[in-house]
Amino acid sequence: MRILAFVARRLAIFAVSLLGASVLVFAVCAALPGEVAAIILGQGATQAQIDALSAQLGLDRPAVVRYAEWVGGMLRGDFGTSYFTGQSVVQLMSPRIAVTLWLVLFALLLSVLIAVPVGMLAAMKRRSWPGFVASAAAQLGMAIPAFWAAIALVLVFAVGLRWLPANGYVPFTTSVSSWAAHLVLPVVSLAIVQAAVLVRYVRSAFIEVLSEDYYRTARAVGWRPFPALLRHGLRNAALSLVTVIGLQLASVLVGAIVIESVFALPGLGSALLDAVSQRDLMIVQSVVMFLAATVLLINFVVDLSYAWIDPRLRTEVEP
Amino acid sequence: MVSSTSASVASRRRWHWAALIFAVSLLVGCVGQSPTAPTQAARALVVGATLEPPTMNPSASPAASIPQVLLYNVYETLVRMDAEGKLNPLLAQTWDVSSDRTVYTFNLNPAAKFASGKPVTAQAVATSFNRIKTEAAISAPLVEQMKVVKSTEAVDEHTVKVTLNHPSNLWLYDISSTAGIIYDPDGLAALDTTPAGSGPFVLQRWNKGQSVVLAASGSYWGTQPRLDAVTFRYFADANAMNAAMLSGDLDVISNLQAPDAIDQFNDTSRYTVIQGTTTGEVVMALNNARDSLKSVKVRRAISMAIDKKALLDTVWNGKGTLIGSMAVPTDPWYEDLTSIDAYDPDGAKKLLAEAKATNLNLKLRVPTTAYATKSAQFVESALRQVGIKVTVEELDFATWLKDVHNGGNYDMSIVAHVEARDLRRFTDPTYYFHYDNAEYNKQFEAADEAPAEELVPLMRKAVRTLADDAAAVWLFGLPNLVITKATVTGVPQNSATLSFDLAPIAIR
Repeated sequence: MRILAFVARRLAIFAVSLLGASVLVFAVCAALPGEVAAIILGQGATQAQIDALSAQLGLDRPAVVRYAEWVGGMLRGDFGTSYFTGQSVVQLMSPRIAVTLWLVLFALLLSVLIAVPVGMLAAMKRRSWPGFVASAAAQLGMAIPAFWAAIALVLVFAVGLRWLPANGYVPFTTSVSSWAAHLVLPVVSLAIVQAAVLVRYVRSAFIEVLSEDYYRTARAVGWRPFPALLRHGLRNAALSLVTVIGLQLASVLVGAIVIESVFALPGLGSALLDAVSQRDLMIVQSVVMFLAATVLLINFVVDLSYAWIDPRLRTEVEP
Repeated sequence: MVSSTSASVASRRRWHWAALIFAVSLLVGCVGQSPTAPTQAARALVVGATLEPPTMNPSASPAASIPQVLLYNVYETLVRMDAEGKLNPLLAQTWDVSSDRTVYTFNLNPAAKFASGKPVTAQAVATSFNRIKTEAAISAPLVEQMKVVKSTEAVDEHTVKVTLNHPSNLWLYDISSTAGIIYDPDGLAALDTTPAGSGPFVLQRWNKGQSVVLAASGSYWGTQPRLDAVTFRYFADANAMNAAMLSGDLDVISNLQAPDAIDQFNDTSRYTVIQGTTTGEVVMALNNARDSLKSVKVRRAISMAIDKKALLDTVWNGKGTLIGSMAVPTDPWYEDLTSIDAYDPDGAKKLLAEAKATNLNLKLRVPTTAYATKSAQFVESALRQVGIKVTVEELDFATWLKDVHNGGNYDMSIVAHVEARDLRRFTDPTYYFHYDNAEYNKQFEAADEAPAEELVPLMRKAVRTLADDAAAVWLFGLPNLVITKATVTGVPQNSATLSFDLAPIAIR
């Protein structure tokens, strides 16, 4: 029963947050100066021409009506059409979402793969030089902006060694190897910074584990430090890590926008930038809303995953 | 108990190692692949460009990125402009002008046909010209350029008669560009995504946010192009484009956006650097409607206070042309007018004193493009030297368009006017220059309506009037900075149109 109440409460928070986000997103877009009609028609258009096109696009109607239409459409799965090209936002953005999804997914995965061993090392050897080196590397990694790492990687691996393409994107369906080659540098640049941030959390989580009774017991029955930590510590440390990764998702998405620009990737970030500068607000609204919903959804899933990771929560809620 | 657990740990560890080795080998596998692996046609060219076309329809948007890809390559016009700015036959083999110069009769090339296989008929020309006047969502510059056309009629299958409201020399130049594109009448409904032209290339694929791929049409009616496929790749970030060129992914940078970066391409065994001119003028607009700027002495003083050569060196690495008025070297009536209001801070101070313009405080509102923001800083400090206080404001382009360009809410602004022959803008007092000079209008009209052989001397007079009157400050002409691999040949030095014309280009 209590788990149902828990899920219901989280679900309610999720829904209210979505509604709040939609109001906020719409209000900010409506407040932006500049008109899409003026940009479509270009320099030299008269105000009468601009007003006529705005009316044709339905932009002369009151904000409340436009908001209701937009939210109503989204509830039916219709995210509107681009003012600029008249194509549906879903059709325009689906290939973009795929690019960003691969980028973010692999970057998060790689950052975890780097951060967990390095963080464990930093925790276990925190009083000797390997620990210092790991911590220092993490500090350094955090200080490096992702775009700088990206430029450095491009100079070395694309311009210098010519092992990898400097930028661009090839869809999975065209060529798997080319797709992977184009993703390596962007993913690594994005992952470096995220991994550095994660290392600090992993380190402190494992330092906590090191002082726990169960770890001491495992060591006492003959487990060596690393396997003991892996077997008994990982799951315990995972609880706080999952929270942090969930929170970091937002910053990975922001980082992805910069990385997409440096690597000329046709992702969501570059689409969003273009749409903002062209005041194609239907795309802006719907994409920002999609991102907000994604982050909220991840947080919702993270909340739920506590119950799965921590068996104590499960037994408590199901007596 | 303990031993069995450690055995399972050991086996799990082996599994982890296997996974790691697998992952690493995958990564190495990717690295080992050649990055440019996708199958390339024998004569394929990859061109780096800055702005992606917002649509494939040249009549729906004035974005210069559309004719860059499509004009002369996918779409053709009755007459075409070459790299020297001269008009040549294209779809029209010849044309006659009536004695009162208001009726043009074009004789179409009977061989000309659209990519669909249908012939380019006089009716197609009439439809293409008429729709600019009748359809609603046509970009503003095209409507303006075709305003002079009274009617377009098909006389027979290969003869078109265009009647103008008054004689106009510029109109013939205008129809060598976007305004004069001849569309396949059957393809008009889907122009936003599917071009319907008669050019040597067809649109093969548009990867939104990334690239536009053209392929040789195969059934082109004229001289076959020397390339089989051309990809225009778009880079919002100038450094990314340079990196792609340096890593060998690009064959051409169509226009270098960061002139400071030109030294990276010094190796002549690998790269050819082409420096020429474009149709773009970087103009510092002066709001002629402002009381403080109505005096010609004040406007001239502002121009004289700015060392344009030093500005060009600072802002654009010295690449570009000093122009002095609203004309560029590929315009037939171009002459060097930089001696008018040349750099003279003392003279500027004297003019300001004569005009009794003390404590001038001007707002310089510029869009956030590299050349504009850098120029604004230079202008601010130059004008401070002669006692004019300048407040610089940077606006994103959409805000600038609404507030400055359409709203006229500014004292001074800096933007590149990339359209060709845009000195016409100064005849319209409602345009954001708010320049209203009856004498200039008369001179411009006289040049436009004169017999063709008198166009150049008469237009020179009008261009000179703009400079004498300091209608604006002409900072510099945008350079055409093209980088190609050493194996690419035929890229013209100057860009007299908005088209990146592929016809002369070949790969050795």
